[in-house]
Amino acid sequence: MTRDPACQSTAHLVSRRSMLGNLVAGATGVGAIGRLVHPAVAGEIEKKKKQVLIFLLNGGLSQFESFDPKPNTDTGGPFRQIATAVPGTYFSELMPHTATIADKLAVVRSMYAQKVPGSHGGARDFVETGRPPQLGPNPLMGPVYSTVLEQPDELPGNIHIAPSRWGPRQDAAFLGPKNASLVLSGGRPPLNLERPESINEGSDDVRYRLRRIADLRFSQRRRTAHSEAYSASYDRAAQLIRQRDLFDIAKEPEKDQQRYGTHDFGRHCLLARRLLETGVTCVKVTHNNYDSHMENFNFHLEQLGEFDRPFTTLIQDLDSRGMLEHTLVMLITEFGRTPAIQPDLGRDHWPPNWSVVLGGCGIQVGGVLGATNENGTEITDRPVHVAEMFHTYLQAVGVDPTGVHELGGTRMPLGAPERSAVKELLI
Amino acid sequence: MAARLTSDVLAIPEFPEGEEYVEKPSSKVRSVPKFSLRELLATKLTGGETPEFARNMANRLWAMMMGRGVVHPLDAHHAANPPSHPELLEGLGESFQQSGFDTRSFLRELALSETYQRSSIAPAKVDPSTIAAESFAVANMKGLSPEQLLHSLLEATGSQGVFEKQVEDALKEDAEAWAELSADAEKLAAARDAKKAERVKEFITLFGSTPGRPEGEFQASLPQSLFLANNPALVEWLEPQPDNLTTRLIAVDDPADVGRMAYLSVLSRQPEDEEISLLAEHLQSRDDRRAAIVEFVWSLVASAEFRLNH
Repeated sequence: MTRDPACQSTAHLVSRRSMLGNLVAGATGVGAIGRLVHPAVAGEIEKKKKQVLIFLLNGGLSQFESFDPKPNTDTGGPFRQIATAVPGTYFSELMPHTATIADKLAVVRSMYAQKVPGSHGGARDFVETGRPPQLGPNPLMGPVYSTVLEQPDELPGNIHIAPSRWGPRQDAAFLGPKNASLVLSGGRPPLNLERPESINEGSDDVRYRLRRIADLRFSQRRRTAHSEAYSASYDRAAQLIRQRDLFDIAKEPEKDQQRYGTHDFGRHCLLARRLLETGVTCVKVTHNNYDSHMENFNFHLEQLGEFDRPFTTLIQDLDSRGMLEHTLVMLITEFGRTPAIQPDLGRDHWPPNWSVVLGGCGIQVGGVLGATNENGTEITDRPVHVAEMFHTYLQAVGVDPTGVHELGGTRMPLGAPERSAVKELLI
Repeated sequence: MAARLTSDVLAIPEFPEGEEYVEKPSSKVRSVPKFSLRELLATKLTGGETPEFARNMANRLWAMMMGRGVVHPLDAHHAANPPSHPELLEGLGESFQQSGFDTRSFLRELALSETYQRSSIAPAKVDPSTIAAESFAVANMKGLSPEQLLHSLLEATGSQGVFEKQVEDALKEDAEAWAELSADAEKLAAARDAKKAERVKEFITLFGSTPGRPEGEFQASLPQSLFLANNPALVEWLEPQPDNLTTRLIAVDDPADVGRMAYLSVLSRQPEDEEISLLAEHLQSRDDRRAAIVEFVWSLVASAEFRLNH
């Protein structure tokens, strides 16, 4: 697909991200000097920075009620299909807004996995690590991206905007806690970001300095890996405390807050835009909950009714700001749902075939890859294994998925060695 | 992945339906099957036919004590990841097995070893960066466990009393429930314990490894450092409170005495002269003595020396 020529020009504008980046660099001084570059070359450098936006539709999105509708069949359910911006491609009528941006997306209707654990967590790990969880733990995509992509020193590498009650999780496996996702539970700022009333900013600087001196003394005649890791975690805390406005969407224009909607998912999408604009490498937004063992149709009517508009708004905003050029977008879910409709109108877990959607950086958009048969019970064209998709997610942002993580003597392959990226999806 | 135990390797007896149990399962009775694959596995693993099991267990206990496995990482115990000291590992496995898998005596032996008792400080004239972790030539530092960290923080800052009060205040938030609890000493004690367990769990969630996974090498995360810097409950331990460390330090004038009390309480050692002069300089530079003491105590509890078992 060629882009709207009007959009091309925006790529050359100085984005708010690079401006904020420089402001932050100015404020923190040491360690960020490398980011203070001549404005003329800033644009060039900017282009090379890649970002990733992940939508996780948690619980298992039904392919029938979204990207692979089968109306008027025994499995299709009650909803109609509607035309999209791509002639000949149809989505479920539950996604009218998303249908208008189908030309900015690539739909894969033939995703599959084998030997998937029955649990949601296990299946999710398969999708998000590209490995069966039985071979885990392996790092999720967020920690992988924040490790392999260039990222601003002064920002957390990957942030997970999660539903309420999702606490921090050690999701970086062998990449270690320092690469774990920063979880914004319920879209709220990280816990303990606010300095206690009794400690003012001056006092904070003093105590961090004293702490640092103590560590330097301690490290003089010892191996330093641990104490350095410990010190670095305080440096990152101090940086984040200075930048706590990062998480405050009230700072976004009122008009945008209305466009995205005042419900949780709308606010989370606006927050995702804010984080990406500031330069966070990988942002994941999780939308709960698609696990519709009963009342599948009402469930999807409600959930997708909430999802459809803010998702579309965010993609459109990234596009009009020229950010889709360097931002990979993916919409993933842990498995599909059964073609057979259960007696209580539910659909159960279904790993043999489901749909995922990609867009933005490195992706050949405006088409559909793979197909399922008439009533969606099996794949008829171009099966795509979850591990192949994992390779594709990396390749799209210019990372060689056949490479390795270097871990002090140990080397761990990025993608499953026996798989490779899906060439048809890549530019 | 481990090899599968299949029925052509192990004879799994079959019983007619309804006759599988010595004791049938019911809501009140714990079932006893006539044949249990898990029991067989336990017997096989510990029966002397599988030295791999003894070595794997010994390696995990070694890592618990020494901060690192002879095979490392612990969960990658396979041919492609050889032990740093093969003879040592073999000896450890054998001795653990011969003791009948007596964990206590095995740990005691490790604790008495020269390796365990080594300091993390490099010998004079040796550049510490040249010492490989897998050599065990100096002690490999370990992070305090989540439970150790909580209790050490309370002990170091003299905040047991403050902690008890925080627990009580939390219980008082529900006035109705509190009225009921304060009338029943037994219930109150149980409620206090439950509240304390919540705090312990908070530390485990934040500072521990993923459930079911071994603690790896020490690493520090952003939520952890934010917690140690700003958590309101923790900051209260550092503020002057009846009889806590900060209150006692504020009452002392001589910086050398402040230093001695603080270093002994928090780091269990005497301060060096240079540390005393740094402290004196700090106290003099601040108009607000209370703030100066709080800053100083925090810098000690937030230091690597406190956080790492060295």
